[in-house]
Amino acid sequence: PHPTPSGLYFLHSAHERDPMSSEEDLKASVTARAAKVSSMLSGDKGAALRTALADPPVTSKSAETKALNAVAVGDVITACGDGEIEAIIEGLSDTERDVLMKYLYKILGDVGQCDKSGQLLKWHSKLLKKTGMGAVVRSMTDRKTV
Amino acid sequence: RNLRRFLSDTMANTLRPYLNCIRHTLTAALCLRNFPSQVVERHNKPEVEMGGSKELLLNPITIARNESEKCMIEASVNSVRISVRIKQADEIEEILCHKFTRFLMQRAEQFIILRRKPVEGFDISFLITNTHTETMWKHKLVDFVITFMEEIDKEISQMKISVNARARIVAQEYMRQYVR
Repeated sequence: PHPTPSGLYFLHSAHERDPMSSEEDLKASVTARAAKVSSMLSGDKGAALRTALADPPVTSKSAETKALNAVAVGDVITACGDGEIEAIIEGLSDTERDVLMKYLYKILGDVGQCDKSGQLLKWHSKLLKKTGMGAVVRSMTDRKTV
Repeated sequence: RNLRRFLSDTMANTLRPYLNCIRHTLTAALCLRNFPSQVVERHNKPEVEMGGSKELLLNPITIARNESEKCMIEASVNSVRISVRIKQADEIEEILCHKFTRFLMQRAEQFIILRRKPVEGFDISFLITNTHTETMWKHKLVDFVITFMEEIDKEISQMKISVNARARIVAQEYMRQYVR
């Protein structure tokens, strides 16, 4: 007697996504989102960042899918000038700021992208001022890694 | 001399945000409490070193400033391991760094929070457990690690300068016998 997975649906957090959704679906949505974000980069960067941060592929087991999304977020971050950072952070919701902190650490940890480190560290200090230590602790403790 | 001061100022400008980020991440990671081993009764081991139970370990965070300088912070319920990779621009700095860190690590007992062997891929590692945070101030521990990272770069460049100066003097003295 196989236990039904229905119980899992109640335990699942704010994610509206069906937990059994396949890797291909996740990958497709991430690629679509990356394309959309790069088209928005010339316009409102705050909106581009919000699109990139929405619905991160935390349930994905594929490192590639997660890396794709990280690249999309990284592109928006490097495209923003120093003066715009604070305004953009103001415009994000609390959940989005948490996700952004996770992505900042993810990209900071990637030695291959260390040329962005100056920009990322600026974002980190400004984001920390807004969110406080909670975001840092959540990026270390949350099992759902981006 | 003005050029050197200018260079050290610009270096400091890029170093500050890096160290601040590490400081804040470390302050968040150093929330430790006593946790006896779940595997062996009456034993108390630093879980980050045991690495057995996934539920006790936090996500490791690496902060890379460039290819040659990075810092990895691995936290768990009762211990934190901080590994640092120090900037080594050329062979002399590599040798000096290796000798200097070996000197420090052989005296790890005196440093209390130093680890005797660095983690793979890094030059020096610290291990801070809940006993340390109970007996010492957390903000002072963080200060110590950050100051250590700042000072070690300065020490290695000073040692390099003195090595070069000594080499020049020795070479001059040696060559003097051939000049007449």
